[in-house]
Amino acid sequence: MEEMSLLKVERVSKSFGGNRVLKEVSFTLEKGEILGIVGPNGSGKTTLLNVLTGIVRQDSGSVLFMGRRIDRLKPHQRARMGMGRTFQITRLFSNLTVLENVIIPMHYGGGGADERKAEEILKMVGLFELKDRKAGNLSLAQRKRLELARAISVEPKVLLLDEVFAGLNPVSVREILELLKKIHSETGVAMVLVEHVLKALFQITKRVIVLSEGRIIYEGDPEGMAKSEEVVKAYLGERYEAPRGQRS
Amino acid sequence: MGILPQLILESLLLGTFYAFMSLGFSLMWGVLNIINLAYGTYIILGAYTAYTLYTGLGVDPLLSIPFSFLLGLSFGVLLQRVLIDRVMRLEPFMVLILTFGLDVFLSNLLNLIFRADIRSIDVPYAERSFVIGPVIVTEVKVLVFFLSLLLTGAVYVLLQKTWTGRSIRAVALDREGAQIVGISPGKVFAVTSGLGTGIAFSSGNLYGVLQGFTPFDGGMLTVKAFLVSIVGGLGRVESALAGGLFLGFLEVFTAFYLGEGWKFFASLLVMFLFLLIRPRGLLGGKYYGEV
Repeated sequence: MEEMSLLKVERVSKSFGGNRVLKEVSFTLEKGEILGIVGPNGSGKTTLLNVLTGIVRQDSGSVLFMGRRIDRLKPHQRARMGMGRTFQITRLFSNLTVLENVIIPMHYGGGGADERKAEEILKMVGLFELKDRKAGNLSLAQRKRLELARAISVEPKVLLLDEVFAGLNPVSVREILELLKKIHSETGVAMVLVEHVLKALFQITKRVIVLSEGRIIYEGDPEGMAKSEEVVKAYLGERYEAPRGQRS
Repeated sequence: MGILPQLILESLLLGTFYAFMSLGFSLMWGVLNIINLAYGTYIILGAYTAYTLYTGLGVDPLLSIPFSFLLGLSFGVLLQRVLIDRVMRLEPFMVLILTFGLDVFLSNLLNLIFRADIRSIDVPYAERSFVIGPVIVTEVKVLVFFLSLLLTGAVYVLLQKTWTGRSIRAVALDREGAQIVGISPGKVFAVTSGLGTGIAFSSGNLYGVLQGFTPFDGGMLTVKAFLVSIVGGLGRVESALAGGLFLGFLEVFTAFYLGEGWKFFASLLVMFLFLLIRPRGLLGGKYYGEV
């Protein structure tokens, strides 16, 4: 029997009003794989993540997670199945402590709240010293780390990361990148990175999907992406050359 | 010195009761993001529950608090599951209409059963009082004060130290974020509604021994809970305490210096001022709606 994919998205479409944000998007993600999803603003990347986590219900198509259709499951049920997520703008529980932010998902994820394990995870992401601080008082880079800690605390099968590098300075980008590599090598969790910072993305993934206006226009390795006519067109518009003789 | 210590003491005692009384309203507002216009009538329902148990079975209204709480808890969970959940996801305005209708329904139901006469729970210790130096205070007020403080403390511990409390705070802070970490908002909504209604019912027992009541006193109590939440801030025990004490001082002092008739007017005026100048409340808590 063929081994099943961890995540299988089949012909998913979604409209908001008359605006078709996703058009028959299909792709698969294998166990332990790191997949990048890129595309210009408004191409449907975040909506796709919202469909995967169940915050938005697709109009048609299906999502299979570990061979099971999860279309009808609510976000918290999908989370308990092993879907971890971080947000473009971090969504931590700002009035709760750093430690509480990690322990809550452990409790509700079904694994039970284990303070020692939570502290181990905080050590791994470098926030152990700040464990009793309110999450709202952390810097952006620290909040991103805490979101990662929160997401991996339940030992998810897949991590969906919405622009983890956005808004960070080059040093922080490198640190988060190293952290992601470490998490990947230690836990083997599969990752989907929705990303604008391509340079960082290409250092961690071997396969990317490019979305444009809700459609997949490229799927393959990062090197091939820059050579794809369609990708260049989506990012930069049509090639335009001034007719000879009219240059000023 | 003169009358001042007496006024301050009265304000403290009354304010602590207001804090506990409004806690449920503030929680429901902060966590469910609904303004429950029937809240005051929940308190009155608690008062009539205590009244019935006292006149019918002779149970002391302060001892029947757990019963009122459980009754309110079940009522709140049921109401949330059957009615409010269905309407909440639509426009916020719909919840106002729903709870307003509920308020009219419940107060008229009480009127059918008990008639509109003012009832009071005349406990045998109602007339007793303490004299401490320059101040005189009735035993009932002191008992209500300590019970309010104890129950408010219990809610605080529940919110801070238990998983139920953590999930309530998490949903209040970020509904979607809570779902992502595996918390079921539906359950948290039901629990919060139950807890809030239970608080309202049990504060009704205290209200009933403090003063007389009729089926239609709920509206005024809703306004008081509203004011406490506006002045203090939403969804936190500390905020309710700050708001409650503020209202206690405001009422006692305006009633003494300007006259009883100015009390309600002054509260409303202050509420408007807060909404204009400091809509986050005294403690300025970034509690809900902000990420």
